Amino acid sequence: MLGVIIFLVVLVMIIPLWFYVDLQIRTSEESKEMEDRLVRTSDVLIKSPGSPENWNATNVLSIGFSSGDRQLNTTKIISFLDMNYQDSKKKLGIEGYEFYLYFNHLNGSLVTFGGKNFSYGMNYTQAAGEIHKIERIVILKDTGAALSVMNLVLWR
Amino acid sequence: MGNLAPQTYQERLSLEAEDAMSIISALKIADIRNERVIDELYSRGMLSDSDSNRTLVDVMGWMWATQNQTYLEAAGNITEEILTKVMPRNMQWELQIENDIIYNTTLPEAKGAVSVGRRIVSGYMKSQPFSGYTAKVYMKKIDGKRTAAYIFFGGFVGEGNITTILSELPSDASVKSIYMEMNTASNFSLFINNYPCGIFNKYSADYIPVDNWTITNQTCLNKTLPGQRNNFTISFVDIDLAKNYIGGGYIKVSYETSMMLDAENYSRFYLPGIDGIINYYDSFYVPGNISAMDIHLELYNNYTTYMNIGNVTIFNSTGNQSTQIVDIENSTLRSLLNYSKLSNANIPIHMISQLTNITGIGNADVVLITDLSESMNWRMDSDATGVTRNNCSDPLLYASSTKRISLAKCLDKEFIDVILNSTGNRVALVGFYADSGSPYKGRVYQESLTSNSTYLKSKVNIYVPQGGTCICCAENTAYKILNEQSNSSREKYVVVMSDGIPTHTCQAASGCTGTRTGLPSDEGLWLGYGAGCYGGSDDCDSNDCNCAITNANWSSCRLNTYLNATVDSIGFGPVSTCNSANRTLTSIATCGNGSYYASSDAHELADIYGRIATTIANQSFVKQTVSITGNVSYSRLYPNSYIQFDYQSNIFYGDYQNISIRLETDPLPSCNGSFFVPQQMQVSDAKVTSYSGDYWTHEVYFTSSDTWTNIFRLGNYGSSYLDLGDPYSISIPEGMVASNATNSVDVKLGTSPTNTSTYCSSKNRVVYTARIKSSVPYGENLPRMSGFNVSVYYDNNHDGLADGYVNVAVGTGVNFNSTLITVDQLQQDDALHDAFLRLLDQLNFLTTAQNSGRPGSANNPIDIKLSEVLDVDYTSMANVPYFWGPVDVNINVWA
Repeated sequence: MLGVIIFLVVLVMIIPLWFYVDLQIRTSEESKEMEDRLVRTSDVLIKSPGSPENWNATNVLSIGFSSGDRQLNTTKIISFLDMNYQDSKKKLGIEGYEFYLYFNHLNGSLVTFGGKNFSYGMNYTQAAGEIHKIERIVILKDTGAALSVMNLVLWR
Repeated sequence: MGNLAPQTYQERLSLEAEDAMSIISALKIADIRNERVIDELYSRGMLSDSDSNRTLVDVMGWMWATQNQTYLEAAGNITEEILTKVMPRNMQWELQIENDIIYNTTLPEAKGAVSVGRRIVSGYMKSQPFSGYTAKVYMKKIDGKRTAAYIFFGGFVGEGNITTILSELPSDASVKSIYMEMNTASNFSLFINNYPCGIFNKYSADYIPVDNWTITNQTCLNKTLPGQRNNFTISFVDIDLAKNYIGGGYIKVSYETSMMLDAENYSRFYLPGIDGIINYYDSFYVPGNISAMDIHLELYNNYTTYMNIGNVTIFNSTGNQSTQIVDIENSTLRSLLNYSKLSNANIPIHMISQLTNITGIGNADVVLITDLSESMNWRMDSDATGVTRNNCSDPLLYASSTKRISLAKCLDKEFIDVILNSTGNRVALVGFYADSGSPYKGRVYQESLTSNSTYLKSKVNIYVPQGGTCICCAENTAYKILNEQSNSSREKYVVVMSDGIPTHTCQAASGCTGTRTGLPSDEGLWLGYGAGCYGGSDDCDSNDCNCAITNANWSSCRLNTYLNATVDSIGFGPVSTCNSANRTLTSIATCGNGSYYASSDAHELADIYGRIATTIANQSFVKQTVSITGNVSYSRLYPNSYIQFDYQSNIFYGDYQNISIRLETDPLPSCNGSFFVPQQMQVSDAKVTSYSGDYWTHEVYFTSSDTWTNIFRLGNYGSSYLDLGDPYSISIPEGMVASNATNSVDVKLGTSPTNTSTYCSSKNRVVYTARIKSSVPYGENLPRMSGFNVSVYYDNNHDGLADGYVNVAVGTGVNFNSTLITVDQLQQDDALHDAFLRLLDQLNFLTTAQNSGRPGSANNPIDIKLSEVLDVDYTSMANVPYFWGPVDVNINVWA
């Protein structure tokens, strides 16, 4: 009888701990998954020209800004700015998350070109969950200062 | 990144390093021209607009390679200013080239977890220049080269005076010499455009006599007109048309010209002018696929004339007493000829006037052996004494009562007539007999090889039978005659006639094989009383004469084995009923690779003699000569006659920046010979010459590797060579002659597809057109480049000695130094000097053992006379990085 009691007591103590550990593991895996998505998406944007190669907002199959390694095409960025947000998430393969993309000069000011601010997406100030951010150095020759930083924020 | 998991953090470090490396590899100076550090380098003159298109990593590499402190500091400053802006502030990093740190944010000891961005760059090496000069040189024109134009004659061109046309001389040609090499039948005069250049006498004693003469008489040379058609006429001194022919050969006109390319015309093949009797054997070659052809003939001929191409008669005309102009259109020719088989092939061509009194010319040496033993006094059909018949037209000659010797004399004379009916054949006589007294020595009567039938027949008339039968004596004498008076190029035959059993041996001591000839002091030996060999009918079935029979057989074998003579035997009289006689003559024919015939019937014997004589005459009938007897009307083939081709060449030789020159090898030592083509030459046309003499050029093989390729086989066009052409110059198909390789040819002669000869003229050679590039490509990168004025020695006549020199200005717009220098003073570290040296090496394609030193020097003159102003192209420094490296450039990032 005493053995049964001890077992039940231990069980009552372990169950919350089990759920806690499980939560931690799942959270870590989801975080890792977000980080991977973030890096992969930023890689695609700065290394791939997208598809078709001269894509625009209406015919784009996959999104990429590159016209050479780390050298970005401002026309494609502007086309991207014209895309539907949900559609852009789908094309970037990040449908389960929200994202915010913006470019700034090395001095921190936002890049503007052709009368447009180079920022797009849903601002992460509304984020209730995790936020992952990556900065990639890129070359934006048309914008006056060659070196710029592409910032991509993934959140949920 | 402070709250990232360790693995993710490491990945972020790696991304930062790789991004930074990619940025400095992609970023160009022009992209960051406004950056302060770059602007400062511009103002200090360390960078200029020529650097604007260079990437940042390229500039870093260059500055590092200088190992100059100022540049190393500049590289560090650029790195600091640019990378500090792009690297996250909370990270440490450094830029490293090979093992040298260009810039770092902290000391190396502070490194924690390190990620590396890496690039491999080339074009730099520590302390080595990173860029230099390279140049290429090409010639737009030359001042002179020595080349040659050729007239090739066919394997047989006759019979009569011959005129050929040379139309390949360029308008600026300066004729330096004329060389003639020919197999002619007699002495001749040469006329150039009707101007007499002298009489040229034959002197060669070779079996195929090939003579050569060089004309240097300036008056005669001046008669050869540049840019025009030149008639070369060979006018024979001998009035006998049978001695008015050329059996292969060529006329080579050597000239100097400033034209870079020699004329090559395969579109029209001119036939030679023949003034006498048209009898022409030759070949032509079209280096491509024939799409159309037509023939134009101008001739005056009272006889039927025909022309064969391959083995197809494309022209057959009855003669008349006026000049005929015959044009055979493409449509007609296309219906007769297979153009694809004529393309890229040496095609035999034959044209002849059909005179009824054509006789052949032979190549046979025949020894006619006649039995003069006592039994030849007997009747044809028995051992009884016969009746003498002194007149060969006696109707009783063929009666059985006729003495065997009487019939033999007449058949011998008929035999001599048949053989000697073909000019060139020769007959020798040997009669065997024995002393009528002890010790009954075996003897022979002999006459040397001659073509004088009257003389031979007069000697046959004095044949008198006597004594025993020394067949081996006669065979050994035949061996002596053929061995001493004939040669390996002639067909050799021995005809042994006997009516009985041999009674003598030719062995000096005991034995049954010997070489005694029956001549004085070398008589045959009677087997003697002991052996009991008297040659009578009682010996037909005994072994008494075996030793003499063995020697007769052995001597026949010897003739065939060592002299390649064919030995036929004839049993004269009732031999077939005598085993020993039959066995003797059968074995003689068997070992002599001939035939044995026997009969006691006079008519049949006459047939046998006639058959053997005809067979020999036909087998040895070789020459293409038409032997003319009686009065004939002269005919003419005019040298305006030609065959015209439309064809598409398979190989394109770019004419741009090429110099062509015609060269010939030394005579090939035998049927098989080799020649080496230097690496800088491309052979666009090559011909093997073949003096065939009494034969035809039967086959030609070629190789530039280990595998022989047949490039000509006359037998492919027919088995009767008399009806086919006889090539003298056989073209080696385009593209086969290899550069920087030893090329070999093998020529075979023959009189039919199966009757070939191992003999060849030692005057055959290869004549070819070599193309040499008149430019050299860009060379290696060198630290300097300057124009110069240099003396270059040349050897236009290719004798290895300098003919003169020319001062050449090269690169007059490139740091030009007008001081005259020698080629030995050209600097190998100067790009333009180097290019010019390479060009000189390319133009020095003929060297002799006495040549040494740099090409273009006095002791090693080049083979082209250069123009005094050489057009030069060159590249500038900025485009010519050195190919040093690779060099490892790293950006290391750590926390």
